[in-house]
Amino acid sequence: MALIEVKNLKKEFKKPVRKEGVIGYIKSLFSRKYTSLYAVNDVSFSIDQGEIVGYIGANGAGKSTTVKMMCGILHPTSGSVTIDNKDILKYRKQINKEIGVVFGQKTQLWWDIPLIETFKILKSIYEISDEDYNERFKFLCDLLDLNDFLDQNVRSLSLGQRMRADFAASLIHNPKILYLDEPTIGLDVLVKDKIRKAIKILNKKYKTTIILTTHDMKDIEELCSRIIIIDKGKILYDGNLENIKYKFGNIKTIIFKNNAKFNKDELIKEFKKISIKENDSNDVLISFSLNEVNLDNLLLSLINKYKVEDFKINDISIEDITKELYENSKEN
Amino acid sequence: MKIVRKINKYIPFFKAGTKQFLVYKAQSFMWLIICFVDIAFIFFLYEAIYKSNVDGINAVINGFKFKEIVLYAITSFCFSFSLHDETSFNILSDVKEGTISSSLTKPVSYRLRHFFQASGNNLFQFVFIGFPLLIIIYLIYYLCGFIPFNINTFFINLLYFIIFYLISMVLNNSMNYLLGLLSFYSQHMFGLQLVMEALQMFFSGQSVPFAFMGLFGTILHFNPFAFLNSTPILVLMDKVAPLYSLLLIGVGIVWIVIFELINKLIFSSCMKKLVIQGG
Repeated sequence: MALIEVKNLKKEFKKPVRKEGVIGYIKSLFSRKYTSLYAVNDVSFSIDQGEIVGYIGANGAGKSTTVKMMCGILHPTSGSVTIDNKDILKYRKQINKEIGVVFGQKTQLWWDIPLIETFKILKSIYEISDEDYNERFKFLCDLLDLNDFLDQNVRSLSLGQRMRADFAASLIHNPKILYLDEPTIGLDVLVKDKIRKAIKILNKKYKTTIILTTHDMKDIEELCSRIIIIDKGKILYDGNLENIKYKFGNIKTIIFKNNAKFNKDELIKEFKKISIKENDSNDVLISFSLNEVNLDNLLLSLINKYKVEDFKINDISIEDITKELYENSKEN
Repeated sequence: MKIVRKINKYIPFFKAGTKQFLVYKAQSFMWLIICFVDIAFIFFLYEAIYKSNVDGINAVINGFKFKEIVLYAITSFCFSFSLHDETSFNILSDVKEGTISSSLTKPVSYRLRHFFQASGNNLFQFVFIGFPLLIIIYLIYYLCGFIPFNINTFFINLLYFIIFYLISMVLNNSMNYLLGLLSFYSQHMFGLQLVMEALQMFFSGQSVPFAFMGLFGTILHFNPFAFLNSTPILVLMDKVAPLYSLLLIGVGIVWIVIFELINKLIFSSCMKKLVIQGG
């Protein structure tokens, strides 16, 4: 039996249509029209205990809305979420004891009091025994380097310190499930690395089930064995990370400054399976799949023929993958 | 045992409420200064009213001597200071900034969390500021002989006053919570909060005692706002018979039950309507 079961989940948001101009504004005071939008549209999946699942998609794809419905904060328009076979809406307060949540853009820490006080408050709220609390608190402080700023007021913490503290606060009660909604947003490389390491250790040590939403492909690559890609409220892909990498990860783009000698047709003649574009900054973008084109030969040919001074090679972005998946789904 | 465990979960919110006064010292003292300015304003207003009467400052208007009406005004503002409640602002900011998502993922009741936080703040203000101020003022009044001291009724009135304070604290928080819940429907709450404040000033008897309003004033004794000011103060001033106080305690409890039921209904509707702002 899966730990988390999401079935045919839908969430519709209604937005009022505001007409332009003063007259339009006055009109809308009397007759208000609404447009409806499905932020999440018929989403179903199940997650087993101990899994780390990357839930990814572009901005506005429906990731955070799904997570909030999985926490029982938002009520779905239809469908259901069950945790341990219990409906989240019926047993929200009971299930919340088993859940930890980090919303990257919002803090759960008490703004005006020292950080350590927040942990003491959480100890009471979650009814944690002294023994368990002391063990977890020490473990999390050491893991996330919190000791230096435990006595500081939360409002005086830097973003990196606050995020690490938020992360620890969501884990102090040893939850079965941890929802991480963009936990590395706006953080520097060192803090990101610390949080990723902590996630790995927690998953290994406590078998914590983790659902991670992020825009950072590195988070996904380092942590997740399974990914769910969502766009416009619909699941486009649910499966192994290796499969999606094979399908899309082998697409590379070489970018270099255009020079007078560059001959597009000649290059296409030599490497048939490449596509060439130019952008506004006079850069040449050559996209190709590593499965079809030999990177060494292409680079050699470029360097020998066109005196390339500087270039970079980009992997396909998550936005590109979702875009491509979405276009494929429309065609089908 | 279960109930003790349940209450223990909310003790941190109560403690946080008591600290609120100390954290926002400047804001709290500013609020206290506003109360003193209001008292001075009311003093001069009533002085003008009594002086314009044929009997002058010794006149008895609607059962109140000048010194009694001044005592009513002072008690009224000290009392309202001890009931200062920011629950509706806190809920509005929770909804506006989207921080409600963090509150709702905790295994605690959103209602009780706000109740304990406000109670901590209120009781701190009552025990350390409002109540000592009232004791000092009443001592001055008794010692100067402005009002008669009746040992037979004083302690029973004081006990009733404390009971009424607790009722008014709960009722005030219920109303504030209800007002806060409206921010789930509209976040333009400033006007509504001002209207609520004005209604409360009038219907609680804080601006004008009900005794000045004739028959309408008698009916107003039973309105929920009356418990936030007029009723406890009249009890302390020995203007309510003990048996009548018991009846009013019952009415106050009925109002609390009514507001809590409304809150429960509206909260479940709000949860269905909730949209978390800012992703």
